[in-house]
Amino acid sequence: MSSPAASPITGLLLRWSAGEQGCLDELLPLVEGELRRIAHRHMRKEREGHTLQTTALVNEAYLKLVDQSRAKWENRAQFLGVAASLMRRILVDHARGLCRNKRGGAAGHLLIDEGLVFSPAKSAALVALDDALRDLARVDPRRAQVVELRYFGGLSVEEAAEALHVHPNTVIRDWALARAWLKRELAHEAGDAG
Amino acid sequence: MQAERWKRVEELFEAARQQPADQRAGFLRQACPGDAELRAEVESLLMAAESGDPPLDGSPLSSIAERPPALKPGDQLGSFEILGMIGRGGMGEVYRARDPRLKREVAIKTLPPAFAADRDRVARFEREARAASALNHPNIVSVYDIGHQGGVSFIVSELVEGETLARVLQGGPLPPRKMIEVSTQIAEGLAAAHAAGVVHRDLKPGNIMLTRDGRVKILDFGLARQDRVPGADSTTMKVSHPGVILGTPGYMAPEQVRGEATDARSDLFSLGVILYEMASGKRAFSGGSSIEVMNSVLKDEPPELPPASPPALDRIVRRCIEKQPTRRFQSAADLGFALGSVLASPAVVALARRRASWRVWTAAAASAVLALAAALYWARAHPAQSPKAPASMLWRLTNDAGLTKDGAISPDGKLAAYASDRASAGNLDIWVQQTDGGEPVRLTSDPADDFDPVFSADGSRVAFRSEREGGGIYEVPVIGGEAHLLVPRGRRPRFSPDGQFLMYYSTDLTNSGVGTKLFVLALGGERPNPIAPQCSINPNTAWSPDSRRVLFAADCPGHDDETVIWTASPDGKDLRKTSLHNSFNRYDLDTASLMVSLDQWVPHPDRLLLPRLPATWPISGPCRFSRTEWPPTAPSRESPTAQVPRSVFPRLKTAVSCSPVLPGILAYGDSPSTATERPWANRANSPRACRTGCGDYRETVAFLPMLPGCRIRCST
Repeated sequence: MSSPAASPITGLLLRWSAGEQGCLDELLPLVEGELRRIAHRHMRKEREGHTLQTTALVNEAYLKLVDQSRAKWENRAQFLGVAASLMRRILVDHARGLCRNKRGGAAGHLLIDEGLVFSPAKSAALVALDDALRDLARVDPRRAQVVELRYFGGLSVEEAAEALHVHPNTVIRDWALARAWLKRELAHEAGDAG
Repeated sequence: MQAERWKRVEELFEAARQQPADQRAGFLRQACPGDAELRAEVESLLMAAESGDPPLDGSPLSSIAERPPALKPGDQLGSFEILGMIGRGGMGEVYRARDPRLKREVAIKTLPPAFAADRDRVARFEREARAASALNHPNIVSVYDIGHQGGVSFIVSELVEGETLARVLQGGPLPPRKMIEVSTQIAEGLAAAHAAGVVHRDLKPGNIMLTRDGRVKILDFGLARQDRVPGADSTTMKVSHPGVILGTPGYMAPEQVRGEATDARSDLFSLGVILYEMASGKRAFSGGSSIEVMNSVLKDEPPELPPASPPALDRIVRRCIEKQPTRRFQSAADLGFALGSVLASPAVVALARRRASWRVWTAAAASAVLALAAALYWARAHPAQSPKAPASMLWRLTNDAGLTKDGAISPDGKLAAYASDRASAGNLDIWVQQTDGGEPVRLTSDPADDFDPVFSADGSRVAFRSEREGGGIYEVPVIGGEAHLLVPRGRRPRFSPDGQFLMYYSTDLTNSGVGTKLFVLALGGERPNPIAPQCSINPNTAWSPDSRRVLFAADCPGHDDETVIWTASPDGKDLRKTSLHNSFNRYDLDTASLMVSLDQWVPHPDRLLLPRLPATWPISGPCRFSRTEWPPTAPSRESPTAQVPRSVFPRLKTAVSCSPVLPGILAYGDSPSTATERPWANRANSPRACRTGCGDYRETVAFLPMLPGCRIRCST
């Protein structure tokens, strides 16, 4: 990746923030590509025992892609929101691929080192979570988005509040209810399956 | 419709969560009568919220990624039987295992194959493991063994049952006392390791275990990764080794972040960061990404600690996390010492005070000496003393190697002045320091000795004895400046409390050539008034609180060679012999004690500097200066014996052990680990008085009996 200043991402981000919805379509693939590269590299490092945190990934993507001198704080929150959504897609894609192909490893978009095994059982749990989250989004889109930001993007309460233009207390309340809702749904599903 | 119903669910969920758990069902029955479905919906959500299922805890990445443990229960590693995996760390995997020979459970840490293939790294690992295994300290996890099997290197260590500090901190900041206890133990462990030449390099809450019985154990000593490429600058490190930064960069010292050489002081930085987190519940250095965190370590100062934490603690933390190693504490022992002071500082004492029981004063405490001291308070108006007065506390102000002596406290109690040779060994200069701690400030720098400082009545100046230019009493502003001569050849300045007079003694103003002579100089006046000029004066003198009398011990002709306690008016005309006398010259303990009490007679109303405690020491440990505080109430005139002791001789919480430092001079240092709560030195336990060959140190000897738990050995 070339320097953030030369990347079109900052411009797209600013225009999208200013209300040009079409820019998001251009923005997403650029960010996704970088996120995948970062995630891949970090997966390799996982061998050495580091705990993977998506927050590190999306923040690194932001630092690499966005020209800090032009972007404002709210742009960062919006970027992280986009990245969180992409992170969810990347991970769930991978998990679905893994569920289809139980051998793991080469499935999905992420090439995983042999030292690191993606557990199909856990991947199934992630897929179930993704499904439940879609259901939640139908009932309550904002709370589903809070989960996406907080869980998949690893955003802090403040960052999520910034990205959603709500008060942090709202995020805390939303998170509590959404979490309870998802737990209940996933427990139901596990009960059905069992 | 559905949206409306969901809105109702939200509201009820929120409202019910505000209720105590056992009242929620009742609350919901009332809140949605007739709508069992709505109630069931909310109840199921509440139940799910309370359940332990963690589908959204942790990171989604680690939720789908896992490595199978390399070893299964029942596997053998060396002679050890694997019982199960405990966890994964930066260095590899940790297992619970059984040592069949010693029939004990141990922890075994294996090295990942990537490490095992690297010969240099394995060699370094083994070297460090050996260094760590040589450490035997209660605050360090013991390393028992190192081994290899089938390409796997492993370390066998003590199995510690408990929680990591990281886990404990998830519950928020620690209470001050707990925090100090934990950090003091960490500092003690570090001090032992550093003394053995082992630096931790990766100290963080995840590497610190708290056992159920309150013991702190530092893990992974000397095993920290050293995967920095030598010579790599920070830029190349970030670009070519970005994975490195996924560790816990917020605890690394700046020199570590830069990939420069690390030493014991790097560990102190990490401990400072941990302290900050224990006090505030927040990371000292944070950021959205590892790069930002490391940037913060290099550049930022974390916000102040919450107001509830002791101010001294903030200073300690700041000193630990100085960017420059040279500006930090230079040793874990120094840091431990500073932490000990926090525990004794008023903010923390206040928290503990409610629980502190008020000790009964023994009959021995109200000894003849104390009665004498009480009698000497003749001129003071005495408000009734509350029996609930807080216990006195003793804490150290200085911790230098070398000599620290002659403490004095400013009238407002905020500053201490003393003589120290910390700047140039063997040469005493005057220093001032806040009594709450803080950095010492040097007031004088003459190549001749300056010592025996005392504050002026308004606290703006410090007078002291200096050996410069023939010797005399000099004076220097507290805020610093030029010292000027006050009294040629004078010694031991003592300002009167009202600031009108200066008392001092001199050995050569008269032609008698015998003993020492006492003088009182009216400040601004020309000629000093000789006090009892025919007598030989003992250097311990004191002003009455109302400045109308001076008190001194003296050998006077015609008094049977006994040292008698006299009082005199400042002009020297009204000289009175008191009924107090004893054979001070034979170092009788009681008189010696009395002289000490004289020396402390005119202290700040609620603060008392143990005047000789700071002086003379140390043999094994560094020099220490101590301050003590006692109830800010004056003794009652009506029942002096019962109440004076609290004021004049504070109850000390710290046991003091004593040992000789030079022939004839007693030295002593604190040993907090053997602290006792003995309220008073029982007469029967009092150490015998020691004859010393050095007059200057009489007071030191004299003072020791006042310290409970003090053990004295005399040297001849």
